[in-house]
Parts: sequence; C-alpha cells; structure tokens
Amino acid sequence: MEKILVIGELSDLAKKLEGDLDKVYQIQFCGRQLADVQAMTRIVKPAMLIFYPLDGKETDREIMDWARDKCKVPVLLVTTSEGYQQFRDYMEEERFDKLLGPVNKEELQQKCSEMLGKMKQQTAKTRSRKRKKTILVVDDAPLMLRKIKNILDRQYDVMLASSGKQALESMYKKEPDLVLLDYQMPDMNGKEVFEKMLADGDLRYIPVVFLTSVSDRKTIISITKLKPADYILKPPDQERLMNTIQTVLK
Amino acid sequence: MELVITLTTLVLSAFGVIGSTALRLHYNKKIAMEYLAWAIFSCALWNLAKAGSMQFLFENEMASFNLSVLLLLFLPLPFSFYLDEVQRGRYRKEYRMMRAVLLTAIGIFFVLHLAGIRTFVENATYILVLWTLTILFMCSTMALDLFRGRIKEYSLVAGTLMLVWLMAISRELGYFNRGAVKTGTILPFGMIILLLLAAGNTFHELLDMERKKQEALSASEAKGRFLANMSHEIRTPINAVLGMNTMILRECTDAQIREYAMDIQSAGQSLLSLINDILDLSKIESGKLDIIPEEYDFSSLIHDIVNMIGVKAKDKGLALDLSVDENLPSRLFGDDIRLRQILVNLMNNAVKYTEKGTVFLRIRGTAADDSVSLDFEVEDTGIGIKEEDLPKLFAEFERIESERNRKVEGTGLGMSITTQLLDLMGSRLNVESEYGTGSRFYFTVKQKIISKEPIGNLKERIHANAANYSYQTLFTAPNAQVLVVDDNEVNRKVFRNLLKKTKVTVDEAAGGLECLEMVRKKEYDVIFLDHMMPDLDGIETLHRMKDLPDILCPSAPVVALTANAVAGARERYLAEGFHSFLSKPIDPDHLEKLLTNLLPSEKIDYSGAQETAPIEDDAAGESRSCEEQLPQIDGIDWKYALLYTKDAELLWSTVEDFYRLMETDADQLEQQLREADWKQFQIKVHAMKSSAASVGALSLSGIAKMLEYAARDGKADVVEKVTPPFLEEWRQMQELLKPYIEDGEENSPKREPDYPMIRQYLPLLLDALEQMDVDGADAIIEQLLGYAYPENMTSAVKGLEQATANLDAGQAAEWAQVLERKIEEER
Repeated sequence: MEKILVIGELSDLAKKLEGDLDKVYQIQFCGRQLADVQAMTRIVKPAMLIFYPLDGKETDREIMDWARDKCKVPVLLVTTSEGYQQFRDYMEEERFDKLLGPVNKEELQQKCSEMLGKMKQQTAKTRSRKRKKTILVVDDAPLMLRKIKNILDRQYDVMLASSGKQALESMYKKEPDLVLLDYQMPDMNGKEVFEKMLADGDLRYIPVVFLTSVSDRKTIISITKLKPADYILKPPDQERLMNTIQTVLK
Repeated sequence: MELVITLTTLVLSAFGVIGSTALRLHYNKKIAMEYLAWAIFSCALWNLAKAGSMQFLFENEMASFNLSVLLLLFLPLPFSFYLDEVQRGRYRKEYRMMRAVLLTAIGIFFVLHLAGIRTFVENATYILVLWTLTILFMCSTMALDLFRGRIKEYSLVAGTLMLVWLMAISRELGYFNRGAVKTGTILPFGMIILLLLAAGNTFHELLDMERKKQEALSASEAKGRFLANMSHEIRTPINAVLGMNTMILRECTDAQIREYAMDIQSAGQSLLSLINDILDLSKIESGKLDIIPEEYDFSSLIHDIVNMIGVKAKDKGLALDLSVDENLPSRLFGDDIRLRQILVNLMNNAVKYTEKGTVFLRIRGTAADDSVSLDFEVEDTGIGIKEEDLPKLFAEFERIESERNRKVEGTGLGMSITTQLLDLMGSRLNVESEYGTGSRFYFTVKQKIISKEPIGNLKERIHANAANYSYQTLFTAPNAQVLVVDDNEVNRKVFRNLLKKTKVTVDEAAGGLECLEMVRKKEYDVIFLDHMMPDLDGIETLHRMKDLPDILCPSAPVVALTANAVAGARERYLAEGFHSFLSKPIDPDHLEKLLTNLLPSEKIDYSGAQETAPIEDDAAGESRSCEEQLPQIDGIDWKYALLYTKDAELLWSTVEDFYRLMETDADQLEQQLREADWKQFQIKVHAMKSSAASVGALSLSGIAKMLEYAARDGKADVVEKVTPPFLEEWRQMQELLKPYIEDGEENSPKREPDYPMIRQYLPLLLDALEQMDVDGADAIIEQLLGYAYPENMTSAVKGLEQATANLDAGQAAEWAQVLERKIEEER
C-alpha cells in the first residue's frame, strides 16, 4: 500500500479524508509545521504529499519551499481558487499538481493514482541500481545494536532484532544476506537460533557470523562445530568487522 | 644342454656385474648384487671348466683343471661380501675372520705348491674342506637370520642361495664319490633364478630409496620455504615494533618508561637476530645464500663489531682486547656483511660463555700483490669446551653442556652458520680449547685489496669515538620533500618519525595508485617505494611512474623499501631502475646517510642538526586530535575506546546511547539483585560490561566482569557485596556524563506542545520499535523531545525516551498510554 502524507489542520482533515482515501492508501496526518513535516517525511517515507494550505502565510510557504527544494515525491495541493493564487509560482515544477475545491472523493482518488503512477514510471527506470546487502544484527543489548548499526549503516541495510525469537520472525519476513548473532541472550541463545536456522530449509544458507564476548573454549567449540561463517569477539574492531562481513558476503 | 645353460648363466651374470657396477657408480652407494653377480660369474666359469668344455680352449688338461679349482677356491669371497651386505653387517666380524683364514690357507698352500713341496691337487683337496666349512658357516648364518625372521625382504634370495650351496657341496662330495649325483644342469638353473631374484630385490630397494629421497627432499624444501616465509612474516611486525620503540627511546624523558622501552628493544633485537639466523640457515641449506663481494671499509667493519660487542662485554664486566695490525689495507673487496656476521657470532659466543676475564680479537694479515690473507683470532678466558664435545660444536641446534649453560641464551644456530659461511668463503674454522680455561677460534680469509692505505691505530680511534657517541641527527633539511609509499600504516608512521628531527617533509601514500596520483601533483626530492603492496607492487609502480608524461619530478631518485632481504635482491632492484635499496627494519643511521647522498645538496643544512627540536609524536598526535574532540571524563579511557571505534563522532554517539541506557541498566540490575535472579543478573551485567568497555569506561567494565563471573559461579555473597558499590560507581559515571550530553539537548529551543501532532507520533513510534526501525524511532523521539511539556507529562516523556534507547517496545507502549491519558486530561 502506498503511503501518503497529508499535511493540514489535523482536526478537520482526519474526519474528512478518513473515508476518502483510507482504503486505498495508507494515510498519515501531519500538522502544518515545517519541523513536523520534515520529521514525518523522514519517518513515514511517503510516496506523495497532499497539502491543504490554510492562508498562504509564512508557514505554508515554508513547507512549499521545502517540498520543492528538498523533497523528491509528488505534491498535490488541495485548495480553493483564491488560495491557489498564492502558490501559482510553485506549479511550474512537474511534480506539483493542484485540485481546486470543493473536492469530492472520486476526484481525489483519481488524482492520487494518476500522480503516483507517473512517479512509478520514472522511478522504475532509475531503480535498476544495485541493491544494498541486508544484514540482520541480533543482540539483546540495545547499545550494541545501535553501535553496530552505526558502523554498518553506511554500506549495508541493517535490520535489528533484540531477541532470538524476533530475529527468526524478521528472517521469515525478509531473508537477510548475513546474520550477526550474539551468543548470550535471554530466552533463546545464539546457538539455539543458529540451530533453528540450520533446521529451516530457507534460512540454512544464510551465513552467520557470531559476535560475542563469550570466550570460553567449550562454548566456542560447540558453536564452531555448527560451522558459522566466522566468530568475532566483542568488542568488535570496526575495521575487522567490516572486513569479515565483506569477505563473508563475497 | 649343460653347456648352453652354463653359457647363459655366464652371460647373465656378466650383465649383472656390469649393471650393478653402473648402478653403484650412479648412486654412489654399495650395491650388494655386484658381489653376487661376480660370484655367479666365476661359478659359471668353473661350471664351464667342469663341464669339460675347457678342452676346446686348453690343450693341457692339467691347466684346465687347475683353473677350475682356482675359480672354485675364490668363490666364497664375493659370496661372503654379498652376504655381509645383505645381512647388514650383522656377522661382519665373523665373516672377516673367515675370509682371512680362507685367504691365508690358500696363500700358504700356494706357496707350498710353488715350492714344490706338495702337489696342487693335494693342496686343493685340503682347501676344499676349508671351503666347504666356509660355505656351511655362511649357510648357518643365513639359517639363523631366517629363523629369527630378520631378513624378510631377502628370504627368497637367501633360501635359493642355500639351495644352490647345498647343491654345490653335494656336487663336490659327488666329485669324491665319482659322479653319483648329476648336478651339472640344476646348479646353473638355480644360479640364474638366484641372480634374477637378487636383481629384483635390488631394483625394489633402489626404487624405495629414490622415493624416500624425493619425499625427504620435498619435505626439506617445504621446510625451507616455510622458514623463509615465516621469518619474512615475522620480520615485518617486528620492524614496526622496533621502529616505534626507537621513537619512545628517543623522545620519552621518563626514566622508567625508557627502561621498559630498553627491555623491548633488547628483546626485539634478539628476536630479530634469531629470525635472521633461521633465515640464513634456510638460505644456506637451500643453496640460496651467496657470498656477494663488494668494496668495503675494513676499519669501519672492525669498528662496528667492537662497538657492538664492546657494550655487551662491558655489561658483563669483561675486558675487550683488540689488536689489529696497523699496516692492514683500509679498503678491501669481499663480502663484509658475512664476514661481520662470522666475527659477531664468534665474539658473541666468547662473551656469552665467559664469566670474567678478557675477550681478545686479534687481526693480522699478510699482503700479497692485490690481495691480503687476513688472520682473525677470537680468544676468551671462558669455560672452554671438552674435547669430546668439539664435534657437537658445529651441529645445528646442538648446544654443548646444555644443562650447565641453560642460562646462556641462544638457539644453537650461530656456530653452524659460522662454519657454513666460512665454507662458502673457502675457509675453515679452527678451534683450540682447554676445558675450564678458555677457547681460541681462528680462521683465515683472503680478500682483494682496493686501497693499500694502512688503517693505522684503530684501537685509539675507536676509544675516541665511543667516548662521545650519542644519537645525533646528521642534518636538517626543512625544504626537502620526501614521499613514502607503503601499504602498512605503521611502517609509514615509523618512517615519518625517523625523519622527524631532520625536518624533512614526509608525505605518505598508501599504495601504488595513490603514489602515481601524488607525483603528478607535487614535486618530490626522493621517493621511497615499498616492494610488497597489494594493488600495485613497488616495481610495477616504478615502471608506471617512468611512463607517466606529466610527472613533476621525473629525475627524483626512487629507493626500494623491502623486508625481503634475500641474496641478489639489491641487484634486482637496481636492475629494475631503482636508485637504491633500503631493507626493513629501517636503520635510522642508514636512512639518514642515504638521504644525505640523495637529497640535493642545497637543501641540506648540516649546521642545524640539534637535539632540541620540539618533540611531538605523530601517532600520539593523531589519536590526540581524535581525543581532543572528546571531553576529558574521569574514568573513561578514550584511547581504548578509539581502538575499536576509530571515529570520534561515532564514538560520541555510542556514548550518548550508553548514557541513555545507564539508568535502566542500573535499575534492572538492582531489581535482579533483589530478586536474586542470578541467571538474568549474569546476562545483564555481561551486557553492562560490554557497553562500558565500548565507551572506554574500563574500571566499570572490569567490575562488571568480576560480577559476571561471580554470578556465573554462583557466588552470591560476592555479588551481593560488590553490586551496590558497582551501581554507585555506575550512577556516578552517569552523573559525570550528564552535563556533556544533556547540555547539547537543552540548547535547542523547545516548542509549545502540539497535542494532535504528538498523538500522531505515538503510534508511529510504537510501530517503529515493533519493527526495530531504529532510525525511525530515533527521529520520532527527537521530535517528541522537541516540545516543552507541562510538569505532569515529563516523566512519561522521559520514560518513552528511555524505552526507545532500550528498543523496548513493551515499555514504550506503557509510557505512550500514560502520555495519552495525560494529554486527554489536559484537554
């Protein structure tokens, strides 16, 4: 389902659009503050914006400026014909379009699908770029998760899981290219997770790198018997970690 | 029929003789079959004579008979040699005696016959008895061996041999019985079979030997290769260690640290010399070590050795007595490096094994037209060597009286290398030693003379020199530009530091391609190129550099840097177009001398060489610059943290995360302590240990580690006693960090709370946490924290912040509910 960010006065909009678009698109509402809009765009990553300006004053223009300069998704302006006069200058941009109110349900839906369709065609052309590899990091310590994510973020898509159960769930949802697995976790330890993966037809081929501070011989031997792709001791050295991941992914 | 088979035996045994002689010459090894073939050959001749065919050759029947008897008499000799070989010399003494008895008997009877006292036939009859006894003796030794199962591989041959003998004996007996048994045909048959069996055995043995030889050779080759590679691999890191350590020695003023560094230096040096020894030995063994003659300064050779050994001797309280012929020529042509190695080895040993007294080095020479024979003599007043131990002196890895000399360090390779080097130089080492009073080693080496100018009184000069020896930079060259290319960062740093006092500007390139970039941008006076680099090696880089049209310094000398100091390397580099060659570990003096030669003279300033240059280590500088970005916090070792996370910014964000988690961590641990849930406690404290370590809070991490082990081992009392102070420390650290982290947050102006918007954010936050979308969650919490909340909501927002930091969706949901309720109330 495509995500649409709707910007406007929250109380009125919510009721008005609830029935109109909710079934076809995933709608997220957002207030008319630039900071909010920016944050929401970053969080929701919408496929398009629908903007209900109020009076064409400073805050509205700020949002429009930002949408023109910084944002790459289509923008639909829904306003009255008088209100539209103030935003005329933005309409030269191809991504921008308008609907002059009062607007009914069908019109809005049609416009949305039209704009999104156009966008899709364009992105389809540019999407042939190489996909980033995905790495699932499993660790019960949030600090470690965050730290590793910080390290890996530049080169990989990082998925996180804070327990073995969560890790397996997210693996079923989307298979990562590599799993960084801690050993010592509550409920289900890393070895058990690995064993579950090995028992599974699809997951058994995902390379697993153990990243743990457990250094007693017995555990290490019992883990290495399962033939993980590598075994790194915590705290991980940034370079070493990257190198290991690179070689394993090759 | 008898004639044909006898002739065949004759031909076959002749082939056997020729074949085995050829094999013996080829393998340079005794071939047992040779004797057997001889024996069978003469046996066949005898048989031929017996068969009566000799009448065709000799008219005289008497002569024919005599010949056949003679052949028969000497028959046991080759047989006994053969058996001796086959039985691996087990009955050597007995066989020797038996042969002696037989030969003397034959000799005595021959003399009697020639003197006309007894007839030949009479003699022969007596000797034949002796002959039969001999054969019986040989048979019995073989039967003994067979019985004891000692000659499995020869059992067939031995069996056949015994059969043949029995036949021969019965035939001889038949001779006395006037032909009762006819063996004339069977005997040669038996001998042919015997010959074939023996040949088969011999071939089998030779093939076996060849195979074993190949195996041994390949094993030894593999060993040599391994040693050479290994020592190369080990030398590179030692290079870095020693280089860095030199910097410490030069720059550190703390006496204690200097002392530690001195220990590193001496341990490192001995490790390095050990590696060099092993490398040398492997090179000698594989024949790769060559004597490379070069022009050299004789006095500086002696000077270096005395300097080197003098220090050690002085440390042990020994006197070093040097006497050098003043008329020796000063410049010679030879392999000074190897000569130095030999002398250093001998002198080192002398110092090592002498407790008190004097070590003497005497050098004399007799000059001819263009060469001089140098007599070197190293004498000590040490423990000496027992006469029976002398052979051990030259064996690899052998150490004499290892019990007594346990304290003396060394590998036992030195003497072996020394003798082998002297071998290569066409000389040999002589030893005279008296156990308990001292040893004297001496050898003579011939060297060509380049300049006859006498070296003069070396002793005085050395003393003068040693008195004012201290480290001093030769020159400064602030305008000089040098580029060093090495893929190893530490090596580059060492290099740069070695030149720091000379004020030369050193630029670094991490690889060949980068080097090619840099020479297009900047003009360099000298370029140092490492040989072994991953993308583009030194030689390839040099070639490409020469092909580049737009290089700014086409005539700059290029020096090869390499840890690979194999014989011939120097020539190879020069042939590839390098200007010079510098082996790693880099000798600072060497480097400076080389630079004085290579840098344009107008850029060198000899006057400014001084020791008071401001000392600033680059390595420290670098991590310091990283550290400078981080605040000084008691209990946090940034250096340690930066070891693992090299980026200060990244580290700081970790610290922020750490800070946010500290409170919940402490609370949870406290709760687990109360509930005495040791399993969970262990897991929690383990996590705290890692997180503290990752920001460099080492003492906290240390206590956590202790607690983790205590919890694991079920030591509840320790855990209960240590946890409260640990938590106190932990919270103190939190307080310490607080101003640095919350400061930045409070700076941003807060907005009026926009409740509808906040309510939009909350489900998004929960969703993001559910999905483990950290970036999303962080972005939302950042927005949520941007509002100025009324008093009654702050705790809920704080809780949300903590939950987000902990990536705890459940906790976040609870706090979100609380917040929702509060917002509802507000309305």
